[in-house]
Amino acid sequence: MTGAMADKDRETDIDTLITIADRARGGNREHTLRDVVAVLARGVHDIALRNRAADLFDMVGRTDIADLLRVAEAGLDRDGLLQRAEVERLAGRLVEADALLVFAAERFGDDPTVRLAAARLADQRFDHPASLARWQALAALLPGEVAPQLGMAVSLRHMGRRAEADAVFTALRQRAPDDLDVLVAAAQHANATLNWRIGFGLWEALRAKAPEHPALLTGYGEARWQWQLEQAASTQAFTPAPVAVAAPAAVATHEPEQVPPAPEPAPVEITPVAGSTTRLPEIEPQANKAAHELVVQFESLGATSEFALVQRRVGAEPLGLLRWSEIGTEALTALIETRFADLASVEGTQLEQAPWGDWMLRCAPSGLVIHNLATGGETDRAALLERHRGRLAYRRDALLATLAEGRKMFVHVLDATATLEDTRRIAQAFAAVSPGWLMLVVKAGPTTPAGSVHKIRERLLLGHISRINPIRPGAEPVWNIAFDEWQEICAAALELRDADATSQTGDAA
Amino acid sequence: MTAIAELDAAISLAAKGDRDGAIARTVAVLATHLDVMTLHHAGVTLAVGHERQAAMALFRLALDRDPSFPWSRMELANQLFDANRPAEGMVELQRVSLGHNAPPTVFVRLARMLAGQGKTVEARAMLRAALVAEPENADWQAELAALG
Repeated sequence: MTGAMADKDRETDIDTLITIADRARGGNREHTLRDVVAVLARGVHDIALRNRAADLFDMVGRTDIADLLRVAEAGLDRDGLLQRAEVERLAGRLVEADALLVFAAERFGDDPTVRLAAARLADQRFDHPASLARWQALAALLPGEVAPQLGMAVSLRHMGRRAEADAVFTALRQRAPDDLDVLVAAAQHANATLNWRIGFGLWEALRAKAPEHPALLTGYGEARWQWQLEQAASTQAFTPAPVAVAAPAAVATHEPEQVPPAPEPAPVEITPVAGSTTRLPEIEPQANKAAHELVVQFESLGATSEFALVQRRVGAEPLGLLRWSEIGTEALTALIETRFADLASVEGTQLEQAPWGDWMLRCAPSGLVIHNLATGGETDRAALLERHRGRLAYRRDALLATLAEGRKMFVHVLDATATLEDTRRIAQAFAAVSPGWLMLVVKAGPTTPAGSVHKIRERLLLGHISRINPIRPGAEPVWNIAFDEWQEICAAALELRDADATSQTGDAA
Repeated sequence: MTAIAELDAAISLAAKGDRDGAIARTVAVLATHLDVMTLHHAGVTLAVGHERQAAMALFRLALDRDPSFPWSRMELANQLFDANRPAEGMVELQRVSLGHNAPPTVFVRLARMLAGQGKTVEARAMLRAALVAEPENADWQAELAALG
């Protein structure tokens, strides 16, 4: 091997390892050891050594890793090719994996397993034309199966052929109304095409059928939040699209925040679907009513979407203007001082898309960024900008009203570089618009452990958590949220506020 | 000891119930041919995935290759602290601080630990060492001032 090739291999290995670490930081640790071993095994060409290592992993119950290590012995039969392709895929070498699967498809073209692996890999490579052709080939092999049809529909949408994708989904929903995969894909398609009402109805149906389904957290939360926002902005009643529900919900249900429920049996035609990718962390949903009731007593004032994710984890989706936002302490202070006058004029707002697909509004001159408008590359840019610009004034007024009411406790994560003067200034600005309490959150230190909260002046608290998210702001965000610590500081903050109220009542008496 | 013999030793560990130790040893054997940077990143990846013993094995392997590589030693120290082995973690941090390429954060960490043990004179010295590298760092200046 030449030196240049060795360097290239090393860079590939390191990139792969960083990707695996990012996935683990996002909470998905299931495959970490297996994936790392796959990378390490690239440097081991001694079959006896690999087999001995495989024996060990068998002994400790990790047969998945043992199988990976034994792939070296695999020949050019179907299983051998599939195994080799899987090793290449795990190591992040998708081109090599694809070449193996194309070769396998040529040799074993009538084998659905080979065709399925090839189609999925094309999806992973974002090669949508190849993906469509492969799903079509699989559909020809398995005409009665749902999965190839779903794959085709998703590929069509990614290729901009939405009408054809809609037609496939409509047909699938009619043909297999109780199929969970179809329901999930249809709900994801609704989200991806910004059809929030349909999406929310479909996610509700999924929640009733499969309350533990892993797709629920992000998809349901996003659809619910967006649908509530649409309803609140248009002052219409809130109701999900009617979708037949086969089983009762087994998780704690929560009423939507801020928007009163009202039945509205308007029939809708399901046209929309899938593949919405978001770089928000794959956090585990917690059906915890007490935690839900705790976090809805707080309203986020930025600086990032971290607290929004803390709320989403327990099923809370309040509509606050700054819940999905990005704003520094100084800019937030200036906005509060001017009562968010910056947002009164819509001319300064621009629509932008993050590299990971999230559409956002950037408001000049404050620099406030509002996230989570939509995710995906097929969005109608002009319509999205128009819709969300129009809502800014409404959302600003709602925030000012909530501030003036002062019942909620407000939360802002202080800039890492904030000074005492910055803290004093934001507290002063906040006190001028709200009789409520503000909790500023900072990274824990040697004398201020994570989970602790201190009152630093009248109606102003300082909460501490061990890490501030996202970990790599600016680049694609990596999230590793200290959920338990957030719950602790929220509970402690309310205790301090209640104790303060009690002591003041006592003083008055 | 040959690589096969190393793995046989790991299998013995597994037979005795030390699953994590066996995995750590096996991972280290598989990593035999890798360079320091790849070993380091593999260790970090395993640490993030909570495979602590395997991670420590790789950091030690990286340090065998290059004892002056500060980042693997700092990660090893972190793992030792997480494993409730603070004395060993402190030793590793001190080794990092003695290197010519010691990052200033290691002095700050040591300063905080020393301050926690009541050793304010040593803690101040460490903070001063950190400030040599980053003289404008207001947080560290404040910490130094707080130590009196």
